[in-house]
Amino acid sequence: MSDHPPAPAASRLALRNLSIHFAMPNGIVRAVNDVSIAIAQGETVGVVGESGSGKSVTFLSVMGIVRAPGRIVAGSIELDGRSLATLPPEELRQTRGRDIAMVFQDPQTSLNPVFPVGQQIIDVIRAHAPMSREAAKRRALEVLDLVGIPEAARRFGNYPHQFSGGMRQRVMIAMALALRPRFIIADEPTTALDVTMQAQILDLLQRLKKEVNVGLVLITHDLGVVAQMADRVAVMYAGRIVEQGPVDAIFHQPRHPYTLSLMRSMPRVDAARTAMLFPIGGAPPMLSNIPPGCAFHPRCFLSEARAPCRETVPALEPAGGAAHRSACHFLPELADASVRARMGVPAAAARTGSDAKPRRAAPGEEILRVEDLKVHFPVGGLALPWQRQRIKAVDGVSFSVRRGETIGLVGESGCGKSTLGRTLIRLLAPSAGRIHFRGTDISHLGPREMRPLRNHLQMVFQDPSASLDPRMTVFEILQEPFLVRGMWDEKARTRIAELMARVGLDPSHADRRPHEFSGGQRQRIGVARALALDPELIVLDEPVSALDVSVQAQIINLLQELQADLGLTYIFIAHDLSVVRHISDRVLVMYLGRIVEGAERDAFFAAPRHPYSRALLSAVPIPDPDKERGRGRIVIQGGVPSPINPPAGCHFHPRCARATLLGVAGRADLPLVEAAGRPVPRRCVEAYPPITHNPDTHDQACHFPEEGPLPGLGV
Amino acid sequence: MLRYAASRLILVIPTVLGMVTIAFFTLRALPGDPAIAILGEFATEQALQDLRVALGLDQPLWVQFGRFVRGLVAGDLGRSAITRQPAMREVMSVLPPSLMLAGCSVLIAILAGLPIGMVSALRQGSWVDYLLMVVTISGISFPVFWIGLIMIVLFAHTIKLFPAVGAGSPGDLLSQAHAMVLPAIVLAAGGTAYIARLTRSAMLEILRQDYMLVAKAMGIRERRILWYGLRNALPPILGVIGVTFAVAIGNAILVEVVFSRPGLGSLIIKATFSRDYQLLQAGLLVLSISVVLVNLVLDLLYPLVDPRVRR
Amino acid sequence: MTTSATADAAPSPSLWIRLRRTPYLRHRGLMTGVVLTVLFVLVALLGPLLAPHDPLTTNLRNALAPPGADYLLGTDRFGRDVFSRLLFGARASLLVALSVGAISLTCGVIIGTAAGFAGGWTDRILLGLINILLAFPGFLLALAFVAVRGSSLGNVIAAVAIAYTPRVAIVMRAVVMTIRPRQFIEASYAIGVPTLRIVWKHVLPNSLPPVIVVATVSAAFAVLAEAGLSFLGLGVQPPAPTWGNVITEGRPFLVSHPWISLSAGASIAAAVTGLNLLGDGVRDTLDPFLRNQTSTNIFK
Repeated sequence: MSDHPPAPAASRLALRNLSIHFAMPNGIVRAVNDVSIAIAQGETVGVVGESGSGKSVTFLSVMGIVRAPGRIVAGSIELDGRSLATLPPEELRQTRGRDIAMVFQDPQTSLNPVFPVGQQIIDVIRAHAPMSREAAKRRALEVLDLVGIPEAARRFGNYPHQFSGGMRQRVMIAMALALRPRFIIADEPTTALDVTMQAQILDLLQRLKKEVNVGLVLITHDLGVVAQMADRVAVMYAGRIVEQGPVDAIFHQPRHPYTLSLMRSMPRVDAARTAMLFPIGGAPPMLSNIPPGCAFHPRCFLSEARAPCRETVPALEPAGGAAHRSACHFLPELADASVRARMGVPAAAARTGSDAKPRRAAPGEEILRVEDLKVHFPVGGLALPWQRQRIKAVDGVSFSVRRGETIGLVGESGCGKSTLGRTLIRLLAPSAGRIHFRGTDISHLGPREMRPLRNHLQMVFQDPSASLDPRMTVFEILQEPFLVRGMWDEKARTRIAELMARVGLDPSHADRRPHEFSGGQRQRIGVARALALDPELIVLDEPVSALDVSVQAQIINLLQELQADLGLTYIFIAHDLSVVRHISDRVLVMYLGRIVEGAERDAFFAAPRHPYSRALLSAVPIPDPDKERGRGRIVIQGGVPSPINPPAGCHFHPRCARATLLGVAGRADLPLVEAAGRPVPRRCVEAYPPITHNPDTHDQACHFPEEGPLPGLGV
Repeated sequence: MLRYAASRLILVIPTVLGMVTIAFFTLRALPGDPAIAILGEFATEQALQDLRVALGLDQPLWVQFGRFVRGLVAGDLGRSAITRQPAMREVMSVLPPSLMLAGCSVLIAILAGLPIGMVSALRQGSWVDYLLMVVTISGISFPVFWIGLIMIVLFAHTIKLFPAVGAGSPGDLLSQAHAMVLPAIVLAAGGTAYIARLTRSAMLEILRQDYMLVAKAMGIRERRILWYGLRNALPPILGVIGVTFAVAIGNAILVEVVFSRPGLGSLIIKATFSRDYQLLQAGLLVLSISVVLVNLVLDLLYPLVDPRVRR
Repeated sequence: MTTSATADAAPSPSLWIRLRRTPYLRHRGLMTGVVLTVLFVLVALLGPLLAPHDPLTTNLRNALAPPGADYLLGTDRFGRDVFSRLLFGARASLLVALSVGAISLTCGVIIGTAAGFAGGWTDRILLGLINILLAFPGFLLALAFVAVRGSSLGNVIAAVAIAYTPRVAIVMRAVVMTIRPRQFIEASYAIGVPTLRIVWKHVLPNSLPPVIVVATVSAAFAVLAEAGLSFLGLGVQPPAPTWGNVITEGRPFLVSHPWISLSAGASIAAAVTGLNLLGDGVRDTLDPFLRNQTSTNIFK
């Protein structure tokens, strides 16, 4: 691969004082402001920020694809000292794709749906290297092989829709690698993927970085991903880099109030629970309306609205080590331990120790019992009835919930957790099984009979902007539950004001519509609506996953307060295990419509038992570079199979590490069969495992529940 | 792929059956007495009765319908009340020029509409875009017969480039083609505008897709990216060709009248004014079914441009 | 890539809010559409007051007079004032446009909502019916209907409405189907809102804007169809003044006295362009991608 002259020993990509503005009809959007950062070949730079921090636009500009009217208004982008702006158009085109390539967030939309994937890679190759179709195809096959597409030659002519999400992202990476670029910009490359798939892709990127000697820019909102992958980190806020430095310095001695606040506002999967999170107040600013001076000062715990913060934009100054820089007017104060203590900044060690006791009463009597619940959906609208297949979204689930506790329901997309949650409050009808709410069987009640019960069974939805009718005011939204029950009177009117105040909204904003609120505030409206009728049990369907990291903690705290004050019972559906660890009392893990493990929270996170739970937990990146380095990882292969035709026997057997190990061990008492290209115990393929109840409160569905932790792969 | 084709083919049957039912009940069953309509209001009761028996009008409605469907399956749509010829034969004899006209206009509409829409989208917001949009909004807003009349004044009378009326001499392909130019262009005006507008909005949508950004970011040449865009616009465009054809068939009647061309248009007008319902019904059914068949062909072609529907 | 600056800067407000906030004046097409449509309506309403002559009074001595001070647009072969006939003709066109718009909107919304919201067999049967009606070339169906039932204004309206209602219905169905799975509908179920109230309070208000656009376009088509039927002699019968009739009457004199047909055609064109621009403009205003005005055009 030496069609272009060999690059100098270590290439450098540098952004110098880059500013990118969008001249919009209603004002200028200052997306990127005076950003300088350099990346050397062979290193990984993590760029962290919330939505609207300008992190993506910054690097889209390197590829020349900032959407109009976005314009670089100042600064330059340099590759090995040559400004890209000075290159003739043809040379610039050659540079993009050959020297610098990009991997995008959503593999669903970043591949062209009407061309075979092989063709798309060939196009990229031939746009830069004059070679025959055959030679280009050979190279395309090489890279597809390199990124781990099985049977690349056979899949060469397949279209993007014939690949799963993770495979598509591999194809995208193959395309980026096709010309052996010196730099790859990866814009949230795993955000659209499930956590086990994320682990596979991050693993791949890590491996490729070593093999190909590429400089990797990893743009993400996930501090865990950064801790796992990056050598250096830049933290962006409101279009500026507020802190940058080596990964260890950033995580262990953060020197910007924003970085610091961000880290302590996050629940951690690797650390015991604190009673409450430390949220950052307010919401990230809009880029069309950035606060003057330091953009973070309205939310800053250190600023206290002092004049420099309000008036002057702080410059990046050395903080600690030479390469560690932070943009804060009061850097020395932040380093001062006494000031830190006064501000309530916990020492690094404060995270360890036992879980803080929740300040609410111990769980009471059983409020909900689910017995062998099944929810199947027919698929294929036009197919003949006997040909119609069924999605077994929930396929035989039993558990019970006690008053006042929080059940964490986790699993990857497609595992059936949302369907289960919706069926519990009878938004969906079960195909079989029973749901008892306070002793009443509600599994087959009609809409009319359900209506009075809906007062007690409520739901908070994932996406607050989708779950509120955009045409209604907050008042109308909160009024509706009372109206439809004929309970609308003056008392209800005051109740709405109370509700708004209770969830932290200003009651005088009742006449505003949802779009006039920030994401976090909108979710507060959703919570208020669920509370309107004094519910007892609330199903929370990923209530914080659509929110910015700095806002999540606010909502989590609110939910915990409400539970303590009102004695609510929660079923908390999430894919984010850190949040689940923070909020749950018990955890249920779902895989392909079934519960594979159920346990008390502490027991579960201390030592998960089921091989799937272990893989899931080990796939979660931990926002601590030291822990990440010392960590083994169970990277399970493949993706989640279709719930229409789940694998025979134990649904997890094709991906199961325990089955693989048992197959390798080849014990005399275990007859083996070939499955998913390796020997596994025959039992795994023949029957779905029964639930075994374990004295230490782990229930799991595995044929080999007593097998110990996998050697060297503990979490 | 085969399943897709089969499901499309099977869907044609209820559609055609439904059309036949609607055509039968709106045209024959609802209005007054067809016998009076045919023989006139001053016919003797005996003559009317004889005709009713001859036409089967004395039978209950569902018997008539059954007989009608049976006849239809055998390709028999009754006899024209005026010429006493089988209505089917009458319609078929004038079908080719009408289909030819509609087909040519759709072809022109595609060949002209596609580039207009592409240019408009690529130059979004420029004066070129603005001008083309003014032209295309006129294309869908101006009455086709009025455009026809203006064209006749301009190109047949003022600069005598094309004949104003007729379809050329029989047997002389060149003169027929010459006579076809003006009517086909006039008929294509609406379709061109429609396809241009659709292409523009489809292209604008495609241009914001991530894969187009990816192509640019990866340094793909501009000409190739343009092809990416066009290739992705083909499915929605193919999807509206059927509608374009249906509209062209309807408007062809007007255009044929304006240019005094022989064809289904004049046949249907003649049938209407002489209250020849058998002929009118036959014309309506044959044209509508030809639209259904064209749509079927387009449906079967669809997987060629959109791999996502292939199985 | 939701992380572009545009997405960050602008939360996505509801359709109505967007419509309310958009600077209408900045949208040239929409403004032209509004002006032309208002003109059309005013002319139709005030026509009898404005008309200098009786549209039906023949005056053979003045036949085929050229445009002038007395006869603004000249006279036809019976000496009738073309300008007055056009003013009166606007009424027929407006009546057809309004009636067809209203009928197709009402029926289309009911059918489309039923199909899209109920789903299952209701949807399959209604969709089948819609598709069958859609398979007929619209103008041809209207023509056949009028041919059989007679050429009255009422029949013309009924014929065109039958031809265009399925178009509104199919759009409504599609819109309802995009709204039905949205979370705020599910949220309404969760708090126990009865289905009919959900349709009335949540589905309809959120789906009307795009459907109104389609109804506007079908009103525009109705004007064209009415003119076409009149032109063929199947519309309102002469000597009643309609735009289509005036074109037909002027047709023999197309070369010698072009103003008769030309001015009538121009009236139709103006009215229909106005309605189409109105529909386009409203749709553009509602279209989030056009509204937030960042071009996504990578060729610019």
